[in-house]
Amino acid sequence: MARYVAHRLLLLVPVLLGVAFVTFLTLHLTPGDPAQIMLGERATPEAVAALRERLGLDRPFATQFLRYLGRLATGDLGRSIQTNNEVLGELGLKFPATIELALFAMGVAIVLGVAAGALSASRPATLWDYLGTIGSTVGIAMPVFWLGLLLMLLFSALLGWLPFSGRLSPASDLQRVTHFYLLDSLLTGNLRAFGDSLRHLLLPGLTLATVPTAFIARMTRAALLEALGGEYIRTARAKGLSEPVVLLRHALRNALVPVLTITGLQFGTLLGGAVLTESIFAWPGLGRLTVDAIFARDYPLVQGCLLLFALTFVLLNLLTDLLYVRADPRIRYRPEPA
Amino acid sequence: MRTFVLTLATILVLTGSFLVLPVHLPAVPRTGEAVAGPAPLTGGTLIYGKPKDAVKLDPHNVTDGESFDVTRQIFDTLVQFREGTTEVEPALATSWRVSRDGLAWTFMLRRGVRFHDGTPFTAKAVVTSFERQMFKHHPHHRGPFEYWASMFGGYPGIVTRVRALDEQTVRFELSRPSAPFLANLAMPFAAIMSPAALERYGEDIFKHPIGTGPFSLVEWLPNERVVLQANRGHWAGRPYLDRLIFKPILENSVRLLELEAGTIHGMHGINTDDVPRIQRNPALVLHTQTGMNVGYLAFNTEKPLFRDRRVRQALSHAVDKARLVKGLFGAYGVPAQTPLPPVIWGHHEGIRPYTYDPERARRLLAEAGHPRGFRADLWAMSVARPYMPDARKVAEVLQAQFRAVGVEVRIVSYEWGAYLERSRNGEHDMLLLGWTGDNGDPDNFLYTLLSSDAAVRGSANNLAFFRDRRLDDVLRRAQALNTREERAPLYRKAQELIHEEAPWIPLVHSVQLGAVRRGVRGYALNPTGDHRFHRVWLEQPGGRP
Repeated sequence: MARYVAHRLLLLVPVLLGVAFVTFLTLHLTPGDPAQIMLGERATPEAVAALRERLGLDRPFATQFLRYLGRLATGDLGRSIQTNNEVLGELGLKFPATIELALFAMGVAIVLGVAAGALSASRPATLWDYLGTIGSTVGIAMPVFWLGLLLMLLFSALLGWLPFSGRLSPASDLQRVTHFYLLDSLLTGNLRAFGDSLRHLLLPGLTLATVPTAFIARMTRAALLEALGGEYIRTARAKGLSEPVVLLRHALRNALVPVLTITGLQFGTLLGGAVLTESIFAWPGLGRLTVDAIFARDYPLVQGCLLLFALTFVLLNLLTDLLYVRADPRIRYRPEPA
Repeated sequence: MRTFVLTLATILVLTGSFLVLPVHLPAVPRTGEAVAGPAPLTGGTLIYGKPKDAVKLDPHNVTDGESFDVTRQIFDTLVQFREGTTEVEPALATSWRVSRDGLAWTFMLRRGVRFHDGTPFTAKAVVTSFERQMFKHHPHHRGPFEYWASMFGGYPGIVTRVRALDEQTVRFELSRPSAPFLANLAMPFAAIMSPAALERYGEDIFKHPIGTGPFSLVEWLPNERVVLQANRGHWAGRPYLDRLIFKPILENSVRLLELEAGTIHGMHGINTDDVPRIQRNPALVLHTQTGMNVGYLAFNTEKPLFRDRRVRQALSHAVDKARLVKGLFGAYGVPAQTPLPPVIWGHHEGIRPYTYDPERARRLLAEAGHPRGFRADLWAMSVARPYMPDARKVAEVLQAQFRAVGVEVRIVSYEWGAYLERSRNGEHDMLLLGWTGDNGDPDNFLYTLLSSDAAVRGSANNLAFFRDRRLDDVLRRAQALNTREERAPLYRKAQELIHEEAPWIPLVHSVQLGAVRRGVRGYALNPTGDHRFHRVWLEQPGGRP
């Protein structure tokens, strides 16, 4: 097991190298000289040349990339062109906001998705089942952007129950420790800030959770239906076990592996969805940082953001694979024989 | 105070020192609405929604309006634009004089002013704030300092020296006379910064802005909020607000929803389509202000086709400008008749616009040897610019209007960087572009955009590549003069020449929009694009937004 994990972690290196290369290449193939774009109407040839030199854009592509890799190897992601801040520091500030939002959304998605899927599967071809199926189809099809605005119109503008945007009310006085606001408010014993940040989390969290909830519900339903057809379920029922016990302890446990797979994959998609959700709800996270960086052609920052997204995605996949073992004792990991 | 300054100015005039020329009788800044309506109330917190967060809070080292919106509140400049105008008035300098040859500007500084860190404001702070920007070898010259270079022509550019004559007097020495010099010093990049803070924070100064302005920084959480508090000891009186919070909200529609719900007090960045909705809402007040900008069509006068003035005039007659602007800009633009926006002094009110007259256009084309019209390319930007949010649509309307007089236009677009580069090389027949001014000086438009000095291939800003000796002469003469009274007639003459020669079709001056809740008073938009909160107050300082 430990060897397997080590093996997988080693594989990270080529994956990240690949990501670094592809993003670097994409950015350089994107039309438009960043220096020209940054200076706009005021771009004189001298100013453009000076800026290109400062940004190192006047050197050949290979040189630029190798320099970047060299610095990357020492953990130096460079400095943001706009602010001259360390990219690593910028990421460190924004990443917690995104993770907090994503974890919350994932939690919601798992609870709602599994519950809806189980409900559908246990009552196939009933009103509940149809509702679940329709609901999940709509959930998958609905554009996040539109849903976010709709929820905001309803809960913030019409009903006035929840805040529109941001992570905290402008007047709140939370002391930041980890930059996970829920955690920080608990650590500093600031219960008002806890409630405040939870209220701010609800709408973006729900918006972000829609797509994964729908996928998880569908997968749970399908996997459960398959499991419920198994011989052992008949045995369990014959033993006189109550239906909830059969469903939850026997069938669901077996249906869990495919559900776990889809959950792991959805987490990645969710990080992508965070880009849109963060824009709508003015959530100061990694997604918005990426968008701003792209618009400003802040190459080092874009690169840092994408690397971090990739790293998170890969690590989440590893975590999912490891969770299989917990869910299904038959699965054992060994490095492949040479 | 006023008496003192007036006396000082009078003495200067009377002693008749022939070397100096007083150009301004200083006055204490006006206090906006305080004169007319109800007496302003003090206190309260105002939350203002903006489309983007500041990039850096170092005014010397940023170029974007969103950063300046914050630094404007924290820093003062030696002189400032009077609210709502481009008139220059005293700020940290109480008076100034310029030598007869226009090469030395001497500023008398305000006494008793302190930075937010408690250190006194002296001539040394002024010297440091400028030397940092102008000298590449200065220990705190870390960063691009792009504004300095663009306004003064490099490092150090036309300013050769900034010297403290004593604690309260500073002299700027210039390598050649520059009439817009004073207006440049009112721009936000000319902010005066605490030298002690610069020493203390070094490269991190952009997170710790220390100025003398009406508000000081409490906290800045990037992309989340910027919290400022009143500087109660400000030299022009404390701001009415206790606190000012900037909240970045990316989406225009979401920001408006928040304003409607009252979770923010004011905002800018308004979709044109949302204007009627704001006007209908009794809880909101819409503010508009013609910006210091122009969107135009330039004929490349180096191309044989457009060398003939009659062709340019013909196409000027072919454009139904009023309809174009009304249809595409709505409340967001006003038709332009000259390159100079009406908010800038020297704007010529008397220019008689080219009437919309297709018949006359056809006649002029025939006279010029094109009885059956011709074909040409019209370039349009692929990106939204402040003076023209959708250039493709403008191009399409022009295409239809030109077609009516027999001119077939092909619309061409390039990626933005390439567009600028190719147009500076003069590759276009006709192109759409625009300009946003920043120091409120006519020179910044007319000389920058239409003099032959600016028509050099590769670095041209004069994209009509228009070279006219009479115009050059007028513009250069205006540059060498120091008073507005002497310069204004020359700029009027320049606009007449431009109008007659028609190297451009000036199309539109875009309008800035802003909105506040009804209880917010003293909010005003400025032609310079600044948002200032010194004189903003709340009718209910204790109430929620």
